[in-house]
This record gives sequence, structure tokens and C-alpha cells, in this order.
Amino acid sequence: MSRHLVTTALLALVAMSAPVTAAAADAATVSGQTVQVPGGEVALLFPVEGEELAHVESFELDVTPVTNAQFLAFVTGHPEWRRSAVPRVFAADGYLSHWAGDLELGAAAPDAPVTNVSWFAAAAYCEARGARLPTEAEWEYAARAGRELADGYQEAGYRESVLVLVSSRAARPADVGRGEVNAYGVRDMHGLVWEWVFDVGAAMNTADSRSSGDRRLQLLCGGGSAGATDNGDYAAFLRYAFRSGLSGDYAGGGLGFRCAS
Amino acid sequence: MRNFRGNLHIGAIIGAATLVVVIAVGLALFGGRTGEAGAPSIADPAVQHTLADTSNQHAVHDLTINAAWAERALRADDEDQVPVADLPVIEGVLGFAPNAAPPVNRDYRAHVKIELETSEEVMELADGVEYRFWTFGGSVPGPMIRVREGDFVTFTLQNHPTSLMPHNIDLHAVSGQGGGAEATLISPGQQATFGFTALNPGVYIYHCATAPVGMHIANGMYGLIVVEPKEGFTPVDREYYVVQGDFYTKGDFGEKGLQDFDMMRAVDENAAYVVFNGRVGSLTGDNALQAKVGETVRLFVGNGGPNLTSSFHVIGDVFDRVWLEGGAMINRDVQTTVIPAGGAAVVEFEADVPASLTLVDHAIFRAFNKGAIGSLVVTGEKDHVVFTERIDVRPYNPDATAGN
Repeated sequence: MSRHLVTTALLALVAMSAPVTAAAADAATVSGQTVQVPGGEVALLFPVEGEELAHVESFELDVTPVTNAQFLAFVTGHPEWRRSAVPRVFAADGYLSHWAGDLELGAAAPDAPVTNVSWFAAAAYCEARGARLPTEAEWEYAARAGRELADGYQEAGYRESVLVLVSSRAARPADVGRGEVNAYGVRDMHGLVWEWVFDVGAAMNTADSRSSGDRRLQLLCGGGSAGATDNGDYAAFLRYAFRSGLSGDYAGGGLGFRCAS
Repeated sequence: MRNFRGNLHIGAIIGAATLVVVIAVGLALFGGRTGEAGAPSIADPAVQHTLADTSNQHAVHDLTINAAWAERALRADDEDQVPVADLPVIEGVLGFAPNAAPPVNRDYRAHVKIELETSEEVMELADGVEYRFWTFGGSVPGPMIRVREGDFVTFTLQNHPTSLMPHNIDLHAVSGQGGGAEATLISPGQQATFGFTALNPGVYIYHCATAPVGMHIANGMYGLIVVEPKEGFTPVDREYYVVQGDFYTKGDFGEKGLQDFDMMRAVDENAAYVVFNGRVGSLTGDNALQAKVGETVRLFVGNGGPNLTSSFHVIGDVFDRVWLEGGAMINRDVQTTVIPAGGAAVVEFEADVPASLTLVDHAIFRAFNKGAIGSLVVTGEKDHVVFTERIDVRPYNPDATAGN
């Protein structure tokens, strides 16, 4: 299917579904919601070898990143993921360090994205919900949507606005649901936090894939342009570079997640 | 649509079984990284062996350039045979612009430990103009690092937990993968350590090399590392540290408020600002550099770029000596020296007469309209043989003269 047909189909779909205005939503309402993202193809910044376009099947994606309140409910029901109980190999020292205690948010805003969560903890959360972390391809596909078009890069100035959103984030993320909303009705993809994806480690660290190794070196040493599909997509470079530094136990203040299924 | 809160009990039931699955998948995805131990110790015999081999290889290099520095750099002296483990350990001393790091003042090799922190700070780029700088050491340029040829440096890079971005460092003085870039990539709230021997004397840029590298540099992530030759630099009266950089803001030069980085402007190399030491006015007015007549001034001048080559010039004096490109070749009696993006130079001159000398990028619209201007105020006794100042002024009218 051509890009044009995909776009047209998506526009029709979007037009029939929920309103997609940028109006702020009530965090408590939208943070529990998911949307169906229709399948399609996306040119990843670093394509998998032999696949110019990554094909993404239709999937469900959380409207917002998972919040502190939601993660608190999870660790309440799963004591093994509490701050004092989790083995350090699955969550480094910073794990939930912005909370006052195992089950106390303290100064952490309930409706702000949960951060300081490791990949293992994020994956366990999604799993407990019968969901999973989105793959890198799914996340990038959903993130490429613009205000109105499935391919936001067709919208004038959109790519630049995403770069500004990413690089001007507050050190303490605001509540979810108040930021940008894209054509699928997905919110806060760029302006609040980085987000874990399912295959972040596999993409960067496999020793047996020459292309992956090259990609890592490019991102760290060569500035990252060789082999990339779009040298002007700085926001994507920032995301890929961020992922390239991660290990599964990492828990940092700017990194959260959302689930897919 | 699905309400997660309603599904919580399912998660509770899955409980421990889920944990096992997640852990298994996670370990598979991340491979050996999770369990990796710390960096190898420099006391490790393998590391020692490598260092010894390296210094032996130097003796057989063919020398094709004419400066004494280069010969020494590639020659294995007796002191180069001292194992790293036997070197005295010292803390590196940094210099914060416009002050150069102090001379190392040593005639022996050392094991120098250096820590540098990356952080992201909103600071002024000009009066009333704010910018989100990405920094080494909280300032632009980052601190000047100064070591001695042959030193073994243990370098630790720390990324402040409040950083949004991963960072790393590529030190142009380092021979090795990415100049240390791969070894030092760190997410916010992490630190990484690696070691290197300062094989080549000279003046080198360091910069962040995380993709997109141009953006990290454009946001201010650069500084100088000076590797003194074994015999050191000749002592001078004043040493200063100046780094030029170009900045790309959404708003034009002087537009007030917090300015975002403008990617297209950067790609087009259409700088809104070209400045010394990270800010319009960093070297003017109360911030002007100072010297006295008769003193010798040495400037360590770097150019972080990311794009523009500097035509570095000091209005009102001549460089008596220039270490071209920061390397081994010394040129004399230079008016304007080229400092490429990602390069450096050392310029020296005697302050001959009192004057307000002006540092510029002599691509002069950058000085006049974009901020690339600084002052060095020389005070002291006048010397009317070197410079008379104005002797006479009177009307001049060639037409009137012709009519007579």
C-alpha cells in the first residue's frame, strides 16, 4: 500500500474516532486509556538490514505514559517490585528514588509519569496488565504521527516542533495528558519523558550483528549520520542516542514508559 | 479502551510467574551488559603490557616534520619505561575560562585523575537572551585540562542526574576509539571511567560526541585539553583560555528571552551568534583580559565550532609566536591565525604599549554583528618609539591645494 493510501485511510479513521484536539485532558481520565493504532509502515532512523520500511501490525497503545499513581498501585500488588525489595540487578540504585518510600509518593505528583523505573520493572508492569512494552518500531511509528497526519513529517514545521518539545522538557515532568496529542489520539510522546521500548537492548548490544555494532559506534563517535535514513530528524537521533546508552537496570529521572498490546 | 485499574487484580494473580518471564526476556535482550563488572584496573598486567609495547613502538616511528616537539613526542625516554602502577598519582587541576589551568610544573610522568561533569543549564548567551546550554563543568567552554606528555590519565565523566540527554566525551588528545567517546557514553545519573596515555603534546579540543553530535557541540559541549611537552612551555606572565563557538537560535541576534536551538539554521551554518567563551560580552567591559606593558601573554585559543572556522586576530598587536593548529610547528610574526572548528592554537605576544587590544574573528561581521569580540587591556608606560599616538591633526583639502 502506498504511503498516500495509508495516510488517506488513517485520516478517515481519525475523523471517525475521538476528537484529537490539543486541549488538555484530565490526567485521571486519559491515563487509563488506550487507543488502537492502525498498522502501517515506517522508515526507522536506523532501518533493520534488508527492511527499508518496518512493517507494524495494528496495536493498542496507552494514551499517556504510566503515572506514579498507576505504578504505585502496581507495586502495592507486587511487593517484589517495591523499592526496598527489588534485586539491584533488575533495578539500579535510582529505582523509584523520587518517591518518599516503598508505598509513599511523597512529593512525586500522582499524575506525573513514573520515572526512575528500570526496563525490567516497566516490562513487569505491562506484563501484569496483560500488555507489554511497545517495540521500538511500534513506538517510532506512533511517534511519527503529526497533529493531523499519520506522517507528521508531511506537516510544515512539525519535525522542528518535536525537537523543541524533546529538548525543552522540564527536569520534573508535568502531569500526563496536558501535552501534545497526535493524530492517533496518543498524548505526550515527546514533551514529558523518554520511554522504554521492548527491544531497546537488542537493538544496540547484540554482538553478532555487525550493523547494530556499527550503529552504536556511529551514534557515539561519528555523530550518527552514516546509515541513518533521515539526517535531519534530530529528535529521532536524540531518542536513538538515549537508548544506545541504556542497560536494563537503569533507572533515571527522565525515563518512563507506556504499554502496548 | 481499557481501564488498567480494573485489571490490577490480574496482575496480582500473575505475580511471581510474570516476574520470572520478564527477567528471562530482559536478560536475553540485554545480554551480558547487565552483569558486567567494573573497568579493568590499570594495575592489570595486560594493561601494563600494552603500555610498554606502545612506548617501544614510538622509537621506530619515522619523523617527517621539523619541530622539536614532534621528535620528543614519538621518542621513548627512560621515564616512559616507568610502569603506570609506579607513577605518582595526582589530581588534575582545571582552568575555568578565561583563566588557563596552571602549568603542570613537573619533570616526571604522573598518573593524573580527572573528573568532569556534564550538565544542562539555562544561562545567558547575551544580555536578556537565555539558552539551554549543554555543558562540561557547568560552563562554556568546559574547563581547560592540562597534563604533561606521557602522563597516564584516568578520566571519569559524570552525567548529572538532572540531565535530559546522554553525553560522552571525545578528547582529540586521545588515541583510541572515538577519543574516549564510546567508553564514556553515560545516561543521566551515571558516570564512566577510562584511561589513556597523553602520547602527543599539543593543544586539543574535547567535545561531546553523542548523536546528533552537531547539536551537542552547538549547545556548548567543548573545551581544551593541553598536553604540555615534556620540558613544559616557557613560563610567561599571563596565560588565558579562550574558546570560540557558533550558536543557532530560533530568534535572531539579540532577540530576548529563552531561545530554542534552531536545527535548520545550524544545518545551513547560518549562525545567530559567534562568541568567545560562551557568551556575548564574556571578554569585554569588566570581563576584559588584563596585561601590563612588557608582559608576555599566552592565549590558549580553541574553536568548538560546530561549523565556523575562526580567523583569529588581535587588533593592535602582532602574534610573536603561534603554535599552528595547536601542534608542533611554530610560526612567527602572525597577524591572523586560522583556527578550524574542532581545532586550537596557542598565540603569544609581548604587550608592547598600553592599549585596549581587541580579540576578534576577523571574518569581521561575526565580530561586529554576532558577538565574536573581546578585549585585552594593556596598561603601563607608553613607548613613543613603538607607537607615537597622534602627533598632529589639521584640515586636509586637496582641491583647495590644487586650485592655488
